[in-house]
Amino acid sequence: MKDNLKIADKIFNNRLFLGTGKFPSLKSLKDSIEVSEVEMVTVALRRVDVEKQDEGIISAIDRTKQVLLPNTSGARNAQEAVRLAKLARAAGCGNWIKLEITPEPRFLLPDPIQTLEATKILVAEGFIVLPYMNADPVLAKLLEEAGAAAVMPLGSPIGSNRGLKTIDSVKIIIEQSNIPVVVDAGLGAPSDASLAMEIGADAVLVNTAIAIARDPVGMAKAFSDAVRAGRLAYISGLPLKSIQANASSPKEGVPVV
Amino acid sequence: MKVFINDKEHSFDVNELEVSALLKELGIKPDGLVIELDNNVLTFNDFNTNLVKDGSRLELIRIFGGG
Repeated sequence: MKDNLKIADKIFNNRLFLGTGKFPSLKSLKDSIEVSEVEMVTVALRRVDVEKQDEGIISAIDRTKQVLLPNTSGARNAQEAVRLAKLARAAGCGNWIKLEITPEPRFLLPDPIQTLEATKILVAEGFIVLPYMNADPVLAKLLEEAGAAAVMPLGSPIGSNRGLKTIDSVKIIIEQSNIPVVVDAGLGAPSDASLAMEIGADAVLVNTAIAIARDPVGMAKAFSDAVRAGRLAYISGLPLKSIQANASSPKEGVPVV
Repeated sequence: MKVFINDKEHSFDVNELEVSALLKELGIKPDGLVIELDNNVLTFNDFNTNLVKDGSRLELIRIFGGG
């Protein structure tokens, strides 16, 4: 039986989702998407610089292969997030939305109350809502009850590359959630992504660690492989940790004089 | 006419202009673009049928990279 991931009405074979910010070039983004074979990418909505005539990154994305997940980054409250979501839908991005409400710029932590409020509004307006949240198990259940299609708890602050600092809380969320859990933010190395999958996360979202690597394309492949390895380890049944040693070689019949 | 695009003032030598014509003047491709004209959200199909006049406020928004 294939180990696919279902979120709302879509099936994903690849459990790595890719953020498209901060890549050194459009080509490196396009190549990273291609080599990692990701099936969902996040994008942001921003004002066009009239003087620069920047065409954005839409040309790097193949909508037949990748689901577009616009984010509401920049929103400081539910009202701003809802506006951005509607603009994303009007821009032809579809009705999937990564709800990201971060009022404080130093740590970019998500506002739980505004996120819950915006989730309710957007679900009622027909959006498929994937809320970015701190790793709060109580909030995760509230978002699930509000109709979120998945929850996206953070590993550590956005772009910090500090790894899965919230591991204990994420484990609780995974145990209690009836909707997919996508660990998002702060995963700084493939081993972080693998760890998230080993503890039972359904998917991970990575941006900075790939985009700012010396070789983003190589890093994208590394993360994709790590996610696959971590998931296979999880479904293969990881052994428990032990305080004492447990010999690997047989105890009896040692040929000693 | 004077219009505000992303809060910056721009002048044009006509009294009114279709949104699609305005984009051509500015050299901006309509792909993946969403426009708010005086607080109304316009999609690609609306660009030919909506007019920009003196005092109009436009927000030109596009898809960029983001996490």
